[in-house]
Amino acid sequence: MTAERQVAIVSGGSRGLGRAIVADLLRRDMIVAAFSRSKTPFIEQRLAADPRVESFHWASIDGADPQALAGFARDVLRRYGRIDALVNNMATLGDGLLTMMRDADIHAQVSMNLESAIFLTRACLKGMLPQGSGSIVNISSVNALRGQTGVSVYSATKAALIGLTKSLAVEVGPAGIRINCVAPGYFDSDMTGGFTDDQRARIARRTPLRRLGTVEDVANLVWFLLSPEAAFITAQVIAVDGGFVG
Amino acid sequence: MENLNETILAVVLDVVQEKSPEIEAVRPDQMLVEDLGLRSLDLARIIAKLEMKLDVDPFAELVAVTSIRTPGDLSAAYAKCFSTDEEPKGTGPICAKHPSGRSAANRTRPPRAGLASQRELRQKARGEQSQ
Repeated sequence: MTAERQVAIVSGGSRGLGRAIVADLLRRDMIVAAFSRSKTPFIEQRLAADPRVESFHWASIDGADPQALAGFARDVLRRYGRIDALVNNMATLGDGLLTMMRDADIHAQVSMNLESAIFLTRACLKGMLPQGSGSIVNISSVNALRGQTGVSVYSATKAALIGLTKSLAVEVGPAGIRINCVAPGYFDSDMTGGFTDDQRARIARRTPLRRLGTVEDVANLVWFLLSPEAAFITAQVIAVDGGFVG
Repeated sequence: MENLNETILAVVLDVVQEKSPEIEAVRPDQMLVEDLGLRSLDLARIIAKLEMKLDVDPFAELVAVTSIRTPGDLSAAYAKCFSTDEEPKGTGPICAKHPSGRSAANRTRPPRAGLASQRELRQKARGEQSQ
């Protein structure tokens, strides 16, 4: 069976930006398949609202397990017959000076932020290539574009996503598949939840639009890049940072 | 084995005809690049289509994709994958097999002799997706 509506996979769609992207794509009448390590109230609510799994599919997946990621993509293909969009959103942030960072924290960030995106992209391309169409959005970060103390490993993984985006866009563009990067700046999320009011005020002062971003600011761009409105856009990195000057 | 070969030829022909509609049939011994005009991305598309049809990926571990030069090479690679059905226990997996609830036998149509026509091959390529 092939679904009539377009199907999107969102990694790490249970909270924060991923949750906002899932909600936005569902609102725009896409079928959304998401995974995360555990259920959140948002996931439980979505599953309860769609017991026949017609619009929303979720699975508990260890994002660091390539086999599990490939299995999830295959399951989505079997269930809906197509994969039209992929949002590589899943990420973990381990901040701290590099010399003080534990090996395990470095490995975890490289695995979750970069390797999982590569493996999931490869798995989804196996559905997109036969279709001759597809759109992928990698969630990078402004930290991949400019230096910031304490996030060197995170920045390295997010910069690597830009390299992945640009090369893969050239590789699969002839097959009708587009890949772009979104680089969010500071926005209200779990990752910035620990900021003090002073820190937030300082970020706002250095932002021409004088505020932190919202997850909706980012989700809107993700939707645009996935949509036919962006049919001639590929291999691009677009910052959503209010013009943050660093 | 013949039905597997024909399935592979059908998928190859499907991709070849997107670039060269005038080609009506492909043979197992034709060179994918030199004779059929395919590029590496076309081969990736063929392998992706075959993975969706056959639920196996011989290139995950068993076969180097760089060794594939003809449709016959593809057939040999997938035949190795399916041959694991008869492997004695304990030999370990030699290719990625995906649990699907479908057996290898009902993934392909009954064997037919000879080189299939364009229409037959295209019907096969499309029809089997709905099985």
